[in-house]
Amino acid sequence: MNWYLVIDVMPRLLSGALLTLLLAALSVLAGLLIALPLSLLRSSSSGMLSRPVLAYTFVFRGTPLLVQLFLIYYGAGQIEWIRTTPAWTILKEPYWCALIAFSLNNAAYTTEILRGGIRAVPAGEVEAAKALGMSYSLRTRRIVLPIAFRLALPAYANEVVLMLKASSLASTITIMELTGTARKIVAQTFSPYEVFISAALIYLAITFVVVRAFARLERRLAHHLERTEKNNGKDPVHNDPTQELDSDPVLRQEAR
Amino acid sequence: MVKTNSDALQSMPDRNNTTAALQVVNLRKRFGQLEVIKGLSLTANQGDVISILGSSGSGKSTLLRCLNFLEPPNEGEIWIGGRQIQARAGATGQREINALRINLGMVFQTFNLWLHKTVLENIVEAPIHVLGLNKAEAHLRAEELLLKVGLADKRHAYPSQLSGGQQQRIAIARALAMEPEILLFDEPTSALDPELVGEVLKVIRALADESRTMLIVTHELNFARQVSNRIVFLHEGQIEEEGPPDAFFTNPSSPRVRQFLSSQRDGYHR
Repeated sequence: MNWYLVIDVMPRLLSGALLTLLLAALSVLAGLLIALPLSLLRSSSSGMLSRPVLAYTFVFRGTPLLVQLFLIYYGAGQIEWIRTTPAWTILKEPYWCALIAFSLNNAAYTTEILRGGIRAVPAGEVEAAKALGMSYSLRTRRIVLPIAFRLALPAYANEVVLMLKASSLASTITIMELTGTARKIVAQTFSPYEVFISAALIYLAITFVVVRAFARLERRLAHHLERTEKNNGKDPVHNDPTQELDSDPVLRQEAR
Repeated sequence: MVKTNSDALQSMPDRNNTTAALQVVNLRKRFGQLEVIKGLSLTANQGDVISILGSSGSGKSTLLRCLNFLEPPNEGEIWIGGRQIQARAGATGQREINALRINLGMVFQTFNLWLHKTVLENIVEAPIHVLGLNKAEAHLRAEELLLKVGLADKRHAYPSQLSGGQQQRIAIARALAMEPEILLFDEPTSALDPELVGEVLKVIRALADESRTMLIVTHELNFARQVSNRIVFLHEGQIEEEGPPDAFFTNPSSPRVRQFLSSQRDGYHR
C-alpha cells in the first residue's frame, strides 16, 4: 500500500466526490418532490388514480438503473424526432441524463416507501381529523403526511444511502464523479488498489454523515413517544424559549 | 335550472320541528348485503341528552358515524337545526359535510388523539385551521377547556404520556374547542380501565349539566340513567324502545329490553 499515492490523489478524488454529492442530492430532492404527489395518488382508493402510478413504479423498480441510464443517454439520441426538439439540448448532456434517470428511479422507490407510511397512519387519527371538519388537503398536510413521514423515515434513509452509492453508475456515461475520477486516475497510475480504497473511504465517510443525520432526525421526530415529559416543549434547554412564549398565552403572562 | 325536490326542501327552514337540534328521518345504512341501520328516525331537541343503548351489533356506533358521514348513509335525511344536510357528490358535497362535522363534535372510543402533537396542539389544530381562529384566541380557548377537563398542567405533554382517562378528557376538550351544536360520544369509556371511567364520566356529566345537546352511545347503564333525559334502545338497526330513563329502566315494555337489562345486571354482580 502506497500511502503517498493515497494522499496524492485525494484532492482530485474529493473534487469528484463533490460532483457525486451534487448529483445524489439533486436526485434525492427531485425524487422526493415527484414522489410526494405520486404517493398520494398511489394511496388513492380510485384505481384510475393509483394504477398509472403503480405502472410507473413497477417499471422503474423492475428494471436495472444502469439500463434506465443507458436508455435515456444512448436511446434518446437514436430517435430522430427527439433530436429536432428543444429537449435534445438537455438529453445530449450526460449530466442531465444521469440526473433524469436517477430522479425518476429514486422517485419510484420513494413513492412506494411513502405510500407504505401513508397506509400505516392509524385510521383513528385520520377519522378524528375528518370528524373535526378538516378537508382532504388540510388533513393530508397537517396530519397524514407528518405521521406517514415519521413512519417512512427509516426506510427512506436507506433509500437515500442507496441513491448515493448508485450515483457511481454515472461514471459509465463519461461523468467524472467520484468513481469516474477514480477510474481515470487508475488508468494513469495503474494502482487500482490505493485509488479505489481511497474512493471507497470517501463513500464511507459520506454515508456515515448521512446515516447519522437521519438517525438524529428520527430521534427528533420521535420525541412524542418518550414516556416522560421532561424533554417536551416545557424544557427550555431543548426548545427555543421565545417561540414557546409566543405560542402560550399563559406562559407569556407569567414571563411579564 | 329546475329545482329538485330536495333542493326545495333544503331552502325551507321549518319542515318539521324548529326546536329540533338534530332530526334523523328514515336512515338506512348497508355494508354490502348486510343492512345495519334499517329505516331509523330520531329527534333530539335542544339540550337533550340521549343515551343510546343496545347489545353489540345493534348499530349504535354505526348510527353515530352516519350522523357525521364517517359512514355515508345509503338513504334517509339528516337535519341539523332545521336545515337538511345534502351529501352531493364532489366538492360541494364535501364542503357541506365538513360544515356539518364542525357542528357535530365527536368523541371516539379509542380517543384518536394525534400522537405527534402535544395536548395543546391537538386542541388548537382544528380551531386554527378549520375555523380560522387566530393563534391567541385558539390558545385562550384551549386553556379554558383544559381547566374545564382538569388537565391544564398537561398542556405540553404528548398523548402517549397520559393515561387513557386523561387522553379521553383531552379528546373531549378537542371536540369542544370547535364549539359544536351537538356532541356525539361513541362508547367514550369502553376502552378505559375501570378505575379511569369515573373521571371521564364526570366531565361528560358536567357537560350535560350545561344543557348541551348530546348523543351518548354507552354501556354504563347507571350513568345513562342519571345523566340523560331520554334513552333509546337499538335492536338490529331499529329503535326497539325509547323513553325517559326511569320508565325505561323500571318498566320497559319490550321483552328484549328486559332481557338486555337483566343480563347487564347479572354481568355487573358477577
